[in-house]
Amino acid sequence: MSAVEAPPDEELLERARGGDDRAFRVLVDRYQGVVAATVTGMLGLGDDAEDVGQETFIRFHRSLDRFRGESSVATYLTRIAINLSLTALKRRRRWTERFKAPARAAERVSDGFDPERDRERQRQTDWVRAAIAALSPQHRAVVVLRMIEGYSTRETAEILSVPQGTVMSRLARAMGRLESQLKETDR
Amino acid sequence: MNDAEILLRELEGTLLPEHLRELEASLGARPEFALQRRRWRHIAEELTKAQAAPFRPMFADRVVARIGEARRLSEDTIYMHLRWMFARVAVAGVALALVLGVYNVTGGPELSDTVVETLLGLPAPSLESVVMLADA
Repeated sequence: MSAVEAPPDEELLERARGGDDRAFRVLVDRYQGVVAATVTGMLGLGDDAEDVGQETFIRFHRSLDRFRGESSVATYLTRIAINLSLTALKRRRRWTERFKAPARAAERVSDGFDPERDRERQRQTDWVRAAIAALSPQHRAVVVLRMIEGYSTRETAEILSVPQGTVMSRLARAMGRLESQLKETDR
Repeated sequence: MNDAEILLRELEGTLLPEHLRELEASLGARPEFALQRRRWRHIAEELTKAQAAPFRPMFADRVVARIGEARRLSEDTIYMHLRWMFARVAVAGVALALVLGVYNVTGGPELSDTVVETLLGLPAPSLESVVMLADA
């Protein structure tokens, strides 16, 4: 079976700049996973994450004329998503999040192959999400970008507009906090 | 380079080979550091394995619908601004015409004999102007 080759980003961007919504839709499909990983890492699961995800693409659409490919589309979108997530975190009341997070986490969809493996994976994911949620927004951003999304220290620094040394120190502190939580869990 | 930076660079895979050798050599002598290293590696693995939660299905459709909505709203806003501006310009124009008309009728120079010509401020045709028009 021959697959139709997907058009490259540059072509889709050019078409989207000309008002082609279908081209922009392809870009959304292509990069929604990247944005979802960032916003759910930062905000947890829920409507907030969906709203920030949509807003990220809307901002990107508005800035299409200014985007000239200095960074990759993924990095550019991640930068928007991180900034919007940090703003959303400032707005959010912390107690609301504490009530919502476990309930929404239970809504995760199983892949249906192995219930035991699913439960274990779910347990790990829940532990990670809870541990990340306990971090401050600045530390959370570094952990999400550097440890979950796999950006390098340099790229993380670029996305957050901070020096690489700051990324390292924030990450060291965040890892220290996560380590403390891991010790608590192990007890 | 402190311990935390060494561990982070090792996790990232950017620790220089000589530092890596130093690290491995020091682990036996520092059991606390070795334990910290194990824990950090475990955390890093857990973070990497954490399932990325996708958005609900039809996410792209919802985004494109919102963009369309925003575009319509923007077009509506331009139309509303134009309407608002036109209404004010039209009212100002009518008011000005009325003021000038009243001025021409009541206080202006007597230019013409008929009410309409006076209202519009048109000068009465003189012999001179008739000749000029004929020459033209």
